[in-house]
Amino acid sequence: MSHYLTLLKTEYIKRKSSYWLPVWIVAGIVLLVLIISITAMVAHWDEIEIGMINMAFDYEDIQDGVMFGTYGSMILVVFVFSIFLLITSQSSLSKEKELGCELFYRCQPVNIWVCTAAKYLMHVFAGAVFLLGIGLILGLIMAIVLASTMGGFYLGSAIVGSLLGVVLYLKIALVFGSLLFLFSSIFKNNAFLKGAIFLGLIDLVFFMIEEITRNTINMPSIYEGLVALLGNLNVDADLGLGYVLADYRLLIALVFAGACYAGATLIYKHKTIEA
Amino acid sequence: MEHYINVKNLTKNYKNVTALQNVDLDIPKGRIIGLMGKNGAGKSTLLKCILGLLRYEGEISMFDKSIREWKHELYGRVAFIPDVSGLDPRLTVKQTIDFTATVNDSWNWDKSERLFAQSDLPCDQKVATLSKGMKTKLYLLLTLSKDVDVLLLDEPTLGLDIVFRKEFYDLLLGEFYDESKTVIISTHQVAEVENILQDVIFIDKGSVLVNESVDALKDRWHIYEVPQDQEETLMQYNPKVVTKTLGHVRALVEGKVDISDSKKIIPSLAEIFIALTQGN
Repeated sequence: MSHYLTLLKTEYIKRKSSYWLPVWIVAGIVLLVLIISITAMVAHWDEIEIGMINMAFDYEDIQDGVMFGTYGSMILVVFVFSIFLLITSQSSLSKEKELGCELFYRCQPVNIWVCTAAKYLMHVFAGAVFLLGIGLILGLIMAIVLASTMGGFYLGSAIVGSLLGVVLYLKIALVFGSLLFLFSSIFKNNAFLKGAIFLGLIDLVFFMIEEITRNTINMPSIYEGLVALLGNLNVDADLGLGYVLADYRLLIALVFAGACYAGATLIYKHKTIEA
Repeated sequence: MEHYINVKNLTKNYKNVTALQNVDLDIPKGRIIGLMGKNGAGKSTLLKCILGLLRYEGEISMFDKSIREWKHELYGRVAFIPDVSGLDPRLTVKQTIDFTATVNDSWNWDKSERLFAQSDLPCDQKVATLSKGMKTKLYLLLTLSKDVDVLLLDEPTLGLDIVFRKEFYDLLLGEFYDESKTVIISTHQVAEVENILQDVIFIDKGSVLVNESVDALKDRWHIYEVPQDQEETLMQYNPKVVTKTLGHVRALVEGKVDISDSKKIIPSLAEIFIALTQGN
């Protein structure tokens, strides 16, 4: 067990900045918004009217509003974290070769599947832990703000909104993070760019086949297929944790992620180290 | 004699280049072996094939089991120090020690604590900020702290100053080697390791030229110095390297020479190595 924890801990240490940088960026954005808000508040104090406590809202509408509001705020945070996810996972299996320390790790008595699993978990999914932390703080802030403006403490709804953001991130990680993890085993560097070009070329070939056959053959679109794997994302009345999780596309995404991990490990395992 | 490593008919090709060709070797237990060759002779490729890090043709077995059948457990019995200080620059010295200690069941805590306490390695400093000598020293101490049977060193002291090189080999002999362990040192700096080697393998253009004990090799090859008028007689013994000095001719000859006024000198490994590889 200590082997596994050490591998996870070492992966965290190696990429520490890529976990904390998005947190500081989000904190910076929040701070900036806060400064702008306070400045605007001070400048237009007389015109501001806070106090919707006396307005009549349906209890369920407020709950939905808090959930959607928190989820909407989380989208920005998810966007920042997703960019860092792409940066981190695109070099998961190639960074050590680039740094010249691949032999050191390859010559340790550690099962290669366990080794790549630690990288996969830490590079693709560990950001979700930090995101969850931010989500909980954000949910609490939303609940406090709404309690002071509308009355009632809707922490549960706010937390559900935050969790929806985390689930969205996990789905992006599951599909695009896993795909980049696979690309990191194939390409020595710039796996994101090279992988995107590779998929783009496939899409182009498919498009040309459709054009040549005058659309008598329907070819799939790689990018559309990948986005479809993300599943239910629509912000509508049905949005809820059950709605986004109970989706057959999630199952397909899990199978896709598993195939990417297994494929990446097999390629990494069989790749020779040039003398 | 028990052998730790057996290599049979090993061939390794890189696209159009043959790095190793029909190599046969038996590496015995409890010996310090020098693997010598010029740059690009195939030394690193041979070591990486033995470690199972490259695909190859032929058969290599270690501890009586084919390398192709060995999995990660092999690295619990074999340690490797590559030619560049290939430690992770993102970790500190302490983090590197902790990582290696935890993943290696053969880690000897008492020994490692003693070795690292004696060393002047700064534990909280990142590996990236260490000098090349310090990185190599850290790599060696990590390796010495493991109880392995075979140690493979690929040009371990390349680019280090003479003080570090001496410290390196002193540590290696003092802390690692005993009669149950085998050390293979790949180098082209022959003079540096001459005194610690028991056996020697000369490799050139992917083929093994010599594989025997240092004593046997030095018994077989001699440098003879004769007056210049005896040069023709000396040439009849098919000498390998001939140099002319003031009034004398020097040559490396296999076997014994019967020339009056000749002076016999025991050659260094470097001289034998140069003589044998020059002809190729």
